Amino acid sequence: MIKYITKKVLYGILVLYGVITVIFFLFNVLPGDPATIMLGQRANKNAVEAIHKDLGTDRPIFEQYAMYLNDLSPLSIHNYKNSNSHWYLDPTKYSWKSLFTAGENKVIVLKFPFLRRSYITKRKVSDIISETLPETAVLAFSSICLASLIGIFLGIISAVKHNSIYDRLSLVLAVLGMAAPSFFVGLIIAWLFGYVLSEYTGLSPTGSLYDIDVWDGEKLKLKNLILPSITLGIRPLAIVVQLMRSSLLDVMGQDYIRTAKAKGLAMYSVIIKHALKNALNPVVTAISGWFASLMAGAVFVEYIFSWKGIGYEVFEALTKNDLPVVMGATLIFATVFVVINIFVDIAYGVLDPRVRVK
Amino acid sequence: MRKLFIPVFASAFALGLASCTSCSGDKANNHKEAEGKGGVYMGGVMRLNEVEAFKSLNPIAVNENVGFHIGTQLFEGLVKFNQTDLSIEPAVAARWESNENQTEWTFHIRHGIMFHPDACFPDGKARAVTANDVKFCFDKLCTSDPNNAQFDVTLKDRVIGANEAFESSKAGKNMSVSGLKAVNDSTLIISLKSPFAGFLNIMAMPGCWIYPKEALDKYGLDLRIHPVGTGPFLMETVKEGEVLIMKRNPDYYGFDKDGNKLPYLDGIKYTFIREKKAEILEFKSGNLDMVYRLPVEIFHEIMGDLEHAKERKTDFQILNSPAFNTNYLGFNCISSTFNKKEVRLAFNYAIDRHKITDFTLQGEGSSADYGMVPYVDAFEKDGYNFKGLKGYTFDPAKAKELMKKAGFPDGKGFPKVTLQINSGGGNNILIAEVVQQMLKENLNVDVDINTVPFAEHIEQVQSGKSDFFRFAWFADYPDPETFLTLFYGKHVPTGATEKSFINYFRFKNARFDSLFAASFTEPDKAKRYGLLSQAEQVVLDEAPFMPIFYDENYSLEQLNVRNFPQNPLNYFDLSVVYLIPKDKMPKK
Repeated sequence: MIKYITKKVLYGILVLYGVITVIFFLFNVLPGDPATIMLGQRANKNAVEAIHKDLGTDRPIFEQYAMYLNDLSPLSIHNYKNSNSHWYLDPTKYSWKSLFTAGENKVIVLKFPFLRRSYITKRKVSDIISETLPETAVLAFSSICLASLIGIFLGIISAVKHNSIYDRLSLVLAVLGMAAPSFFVGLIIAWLFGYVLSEYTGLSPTGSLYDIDVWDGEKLKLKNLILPSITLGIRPLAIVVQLMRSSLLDVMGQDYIRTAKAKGLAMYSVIIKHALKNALNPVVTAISGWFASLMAGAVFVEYIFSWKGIGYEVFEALTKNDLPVVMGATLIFATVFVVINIFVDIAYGVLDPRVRVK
Repeated sequence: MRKLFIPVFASAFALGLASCTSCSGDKANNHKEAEGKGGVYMGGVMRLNEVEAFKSLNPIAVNENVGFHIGTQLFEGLVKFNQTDLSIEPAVAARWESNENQTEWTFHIRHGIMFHPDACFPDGKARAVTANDVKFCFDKLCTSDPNNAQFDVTLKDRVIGANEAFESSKAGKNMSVSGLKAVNDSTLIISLKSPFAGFLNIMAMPGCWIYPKEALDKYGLDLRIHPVGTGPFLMETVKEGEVLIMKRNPDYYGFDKDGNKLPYLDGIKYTFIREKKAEILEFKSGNLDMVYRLPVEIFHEIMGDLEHAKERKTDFQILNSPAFNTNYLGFNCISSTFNKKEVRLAFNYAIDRHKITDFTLQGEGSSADYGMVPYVDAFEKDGYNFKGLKGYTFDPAKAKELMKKAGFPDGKGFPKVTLQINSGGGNNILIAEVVQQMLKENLNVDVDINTVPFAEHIEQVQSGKSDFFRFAWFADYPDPETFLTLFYGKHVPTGATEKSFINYFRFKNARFDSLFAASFTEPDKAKRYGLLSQAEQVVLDEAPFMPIFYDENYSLEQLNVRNFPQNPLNYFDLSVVYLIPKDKMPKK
């Protein structure tokens, strides 16, 4: 198991290195000068030159690439004497532990990866991610929980009441859930439950996990989670319902289920104790895949409900060629995918001994 | 048991939902408003929204609307604008005078004016502002810095020694600006290279807001979210992109005419809801006190209520004013497609601007019948000759004649043109499509529309890679000069592929440059405006651009909001705004 996980982690690091390289060079091919973007229509030659010098974007492309890798890498080399150098060991940027010197004014250090600052706002990318990622995680988690619990339940009903009105209705709802664009559905839900019926629901069309009241300070506002979770959960719900239904129907047709029924077990026991565990395999795969993609940010849902998640931050950063934010967020997403894949592999082993890792 | 399962599950789910709707509910404002003298009310929290997060609250870095709106509550310069008529008012300076030829300005710092209390000061205590603080801030403004977006539009080319200090700082040697002298703690003298009638407007701009050196030393780059100013409000909490809370500055010097201490409000809460429709829903739900810049798609729905608003049947107030904002299409005047004046003029006469504003924009805006400078009656009163300007009317026959003269009778032989617009604005594509249609109908010219992200758009236009493009220009301050600078030849680089900042048209005209430059040194406002309107006529004759419409500022306010007028600069001064308590509102 340890060997397996180690192999997966090393492979994951390779994936991350590939992601960094692809994104870095893609950004440098795309049109758009970060200095001009920062300054907008008021851009002038002096300000543009000052920004290029500060960001190091006036350096050759491969030097910029090397500087970027050096910033991201926990093990890096720096100049500790010349404060004007882009390789300078700047205490305002890095927290490090020196390992050994290399040459006259260079040192190799172990440090926390520096994700740099946003080109546009100069905000630390690590701050942006640490503030927005938990909110996206909460939204993704609650959406997937909602989708999973309701989807599994409805899927079981559909399978048990095969070809009944419940089954047909769930099929229609599943198709609607898949077809409806999230932006449109979000607007409708926000308008209907957050405005028209707000007197009864007590909900508002926008809001984040926390709100700051002028007098009472920061307060947790779980109710703001409801509408975005429902909106975001509609599509995975539709998938889970159908997957659960078809998987359970498949398992219910197996010989051992027939044996269980013949032994006189109640339908409840047959489904929950015998059939469900096996039927959940494909559902777990689908849920994990959805969760990982929801973690990448539900841009539209975050935009409509003004949920301060990472999805919309990345979308904004992409439109403004804000490379550090895009790079930092993509690295986090890639890490999340790698970690989730490892957990899914382990989960398979737990659920089904036949595929347990030797 | 089985039959009970579904109803039990459904009930549990509903209960969970209901309990969540009541958990951590937001309380209404607990702090009661109290009646002040003269019928105003003290207290309450103003709830506002911006659809974009601010970039920076470091004064020299403020270059966008959101930073401007928020920063205006936290900072002041030597002077500030009056919210109603944009006239200049004393702020950090209590009074000022100039010499006869207006090249030397002496500012007297207000006695006892304090910076906000902040951790950057010893023991966190507020301290008084001195003339040396102003000198420090203005010296910093004249220093090359990647954050410095304000030097070019404020002290550059105006204050003696400013350019030299800036150039010296680029080489790593910071030097003091010789034209800025702090004579003592309360007196600052600013010496100009030549008289400039708009000088006091410049002093009100964000780059000239005053902040303490201690704040810059302590916070460095993070000064962007640690503003320390002298404004009527001080920063309480900020969660970037989410919420920003300001509270009343207890040391603020201002009083109203009845002796009430300003600001009236206890605080301001800014949210950053990005979706415009969601913002309007929050306003209609009563969770915001004001919204501005209404999306055109719902404009008719909102404006349809204007009739009811007049009879007091609606639940909100609608305010509007002309805006210092012109939407236009520009030409690259040195490109092979648009280097002929006749072609550019033909394009202008082929467009029916009134149709665009009446139908495409559904009345939100007025047609650009003049030039780049939008019609503002204050400018006209001060001597800007709008009525004498010969702008562009809709004249397809004249347009065809001009194209013929240019060598393209009925559009034959004229190359296909691409109109480049930036994405993200609802009106942009609508107007582009209408212009495309009008140019085809009236000139038989084929126009493709290319929509690109704003970042790419601005890059391409500055680099001269786009021959025909859309932009809008917002004034920096209330003066025609800030519009006409777009045509100043000094901004144009010598190389065709070098980036052209500000003057995207690469327009160079000796007569325009001469009139524009003469306006810098004309101390008499009426004569100066006369020179500028003459300069604008030169631009109209040469047609480096197509003005389309002048924007209008519309805002919605809750019925209990008072003293919050709309103005062309979208300048908000919340120190004079108050909220009438709901129970004191007159019954409908």
